[in-house]
Amino acid sequence: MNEVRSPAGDASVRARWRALVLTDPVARLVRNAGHAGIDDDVFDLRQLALAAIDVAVASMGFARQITLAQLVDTVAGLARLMDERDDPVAAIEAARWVVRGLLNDAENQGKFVYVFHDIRSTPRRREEYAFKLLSLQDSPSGAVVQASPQAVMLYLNGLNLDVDDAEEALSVVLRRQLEDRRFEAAGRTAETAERASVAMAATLADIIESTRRDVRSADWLVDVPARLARARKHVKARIEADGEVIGHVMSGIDAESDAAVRRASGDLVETLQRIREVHLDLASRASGAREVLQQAQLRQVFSRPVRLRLLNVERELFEPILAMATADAQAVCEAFTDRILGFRLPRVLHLGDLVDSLLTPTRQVTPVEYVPEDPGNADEADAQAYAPEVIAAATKILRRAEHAPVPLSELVDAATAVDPEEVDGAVEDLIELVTLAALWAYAPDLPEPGDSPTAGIDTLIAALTAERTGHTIDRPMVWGNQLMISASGAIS
Amino acid sequence: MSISLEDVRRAAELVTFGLRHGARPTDGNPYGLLLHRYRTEAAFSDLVDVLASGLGLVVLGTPARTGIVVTTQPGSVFAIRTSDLRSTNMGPEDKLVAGLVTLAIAAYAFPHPRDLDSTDVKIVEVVALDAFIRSAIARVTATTGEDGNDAQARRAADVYDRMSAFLPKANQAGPAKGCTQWAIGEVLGWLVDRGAARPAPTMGATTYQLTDRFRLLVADIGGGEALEALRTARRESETT
Repeated sequence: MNEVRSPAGDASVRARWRALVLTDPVARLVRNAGHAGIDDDVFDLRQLALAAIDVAVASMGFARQITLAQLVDTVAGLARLMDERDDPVAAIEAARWVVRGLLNDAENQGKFVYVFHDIRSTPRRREEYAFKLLSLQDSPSGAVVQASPQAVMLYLNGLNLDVDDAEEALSVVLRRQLEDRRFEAAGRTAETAERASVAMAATLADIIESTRRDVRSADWLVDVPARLARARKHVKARIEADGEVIGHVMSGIDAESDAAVRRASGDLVETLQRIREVHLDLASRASGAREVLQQAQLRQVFSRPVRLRLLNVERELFEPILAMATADAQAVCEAFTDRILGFRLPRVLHLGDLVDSLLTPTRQVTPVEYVPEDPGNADEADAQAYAPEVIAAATKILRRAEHAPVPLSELVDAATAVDPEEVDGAVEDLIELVTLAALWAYAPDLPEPGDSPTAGIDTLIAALTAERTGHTIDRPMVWGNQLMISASGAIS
Repeated sequence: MSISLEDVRRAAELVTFGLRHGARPTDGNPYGLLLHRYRTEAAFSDLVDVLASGLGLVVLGTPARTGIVVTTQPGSVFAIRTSDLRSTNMGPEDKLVAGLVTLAIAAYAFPHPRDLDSTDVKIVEVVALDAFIRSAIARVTATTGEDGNDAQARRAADVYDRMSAFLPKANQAGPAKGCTQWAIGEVLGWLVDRGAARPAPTMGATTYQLTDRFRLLVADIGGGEALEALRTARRESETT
């Protein structure tokens, strides 16, 4: 069989394949929506995805960048319009699903990776094509959403077009339509032209932003100056043309007798004025770009070289530690966690403040109206009572004071070291009970006649006495004066 | 350029801004002006670095949106340890689980070495993180086999694996203490307190956004020290 091949097709297959895979993340998030309980019949997820990209690209180009929270809210607002039930919870779930899909949350928010099989090369080879659509950057107002160049391409109908050429082509089409007096069609073309300008500004914004982060990230010798020159030329030509077209259409409105044509012309003027704003903004962006480069150069020359250690955390640290014995693993985990936690600010006692606070009169508390508590079901366990196993463990610890006086710190340490299984995980309660027993022994609070018995605690600590030693105790849950605990009788 | 006492005071002010997790530089505020000076005046940046060093601190970097990121030198008066944090009565196993979770967050957020050099930030979610850790444990178990009953030889993975993923609270929603989802929430809470993460409630009640500070801490200090500790532990286990 003769081989049937198209040389033209072969030449462009890689570019067309890339254009095709750019839409796959959106197809994937639609495909998997059912698993997440998102109803694709209710929400047009494709449109929501396009809207999310539109908003991200537009905010990159011309205003303060949109935050993740704002993007989700915006997409959720659109989703609500699609849902006849007007269910805000379902809408926000759909918006989250779309944004997570565009961030590639299923793969750790990494790049989307597709493999191109180049069967025309010799030997045949496979090429990885990796891209992001949206990514997040840290900012004072939260994570801001950044659209990738691929998202900008998708924004332009998913076609691998040169933005500047598209703009020029649209400009020619617009002029021809105006000459033909096809104002409605001209309006649609003008809107498309606006999107092309937005995309151009977004690309420029991306270059400027990456230059701010690292001057080496963009080619400021050849590529960026050429782009800026094109942008300036484009803006100059467009601003002149915008004025000319607006004037032309407005004069036409005055002379036009057909109401429909007058209305279409009016709409077109509005669109053209908006486009003019876009072009003016692009002009200021292009003129300020060089200054951004100079500032970034100055800053980055003097900034301390960051000695980042680029390690594979999962393979080099996490998995080896999981396989280590607990004692060894703990040492490594602590080394890591202690450094990640950063710092704390030590508090310094200011004597003047202390005296002031001691002399401050007690705050008068407004009496609260007493509302009797519902006794509830008498069979239920008292939520405030200590569990029997905690009382048993505390008794065992306090028995150490039977034969010789024991410092409170030793009792607290013994309570801390108790196997959590022995007290059903309530180690904190145990430490608290031992400490309270010691404090009660130091300053007994004798029960009033009629007080209910407290689950044997009175009996437990009645036999204890405590005295201050003059030293201090410093434990995470207990600190202050050290007490020496001794038993005046047998602890029951 | 000669250094004046006023410069020293300004340098100390910048270090103080770095010690305040909530402080954010903008173009015109005093923090932003000092940060700009740090980036553009070599003598001033040296002064800030030296002053921080004398206090037992290290300047990790000055990302424009985050501000000056400082961390501690070993033994610094500012140094914080796991035991100083809000879950004060953590047992050894709780500490181990917290450490594993911290490492897992870094592993989840930076799957490739190059991710540590990118300013992209990630969002993390408690249940997804738990699933990530358990899948890593399953891989480790498949490679090294099940552990025995010897408590001395018990692996870190088994400590995590034996904890329930979720235990319900008695009277309210959310995981109760004693399960791994609670531990993950706790560690993320620490990171929020330290300015290394922010809650992202729009994306879900248990979703957090990691900040650039977290990346710098992992890449600049934490990763290196943990690798060193890992090598030391391996050397010791080989010699015994």
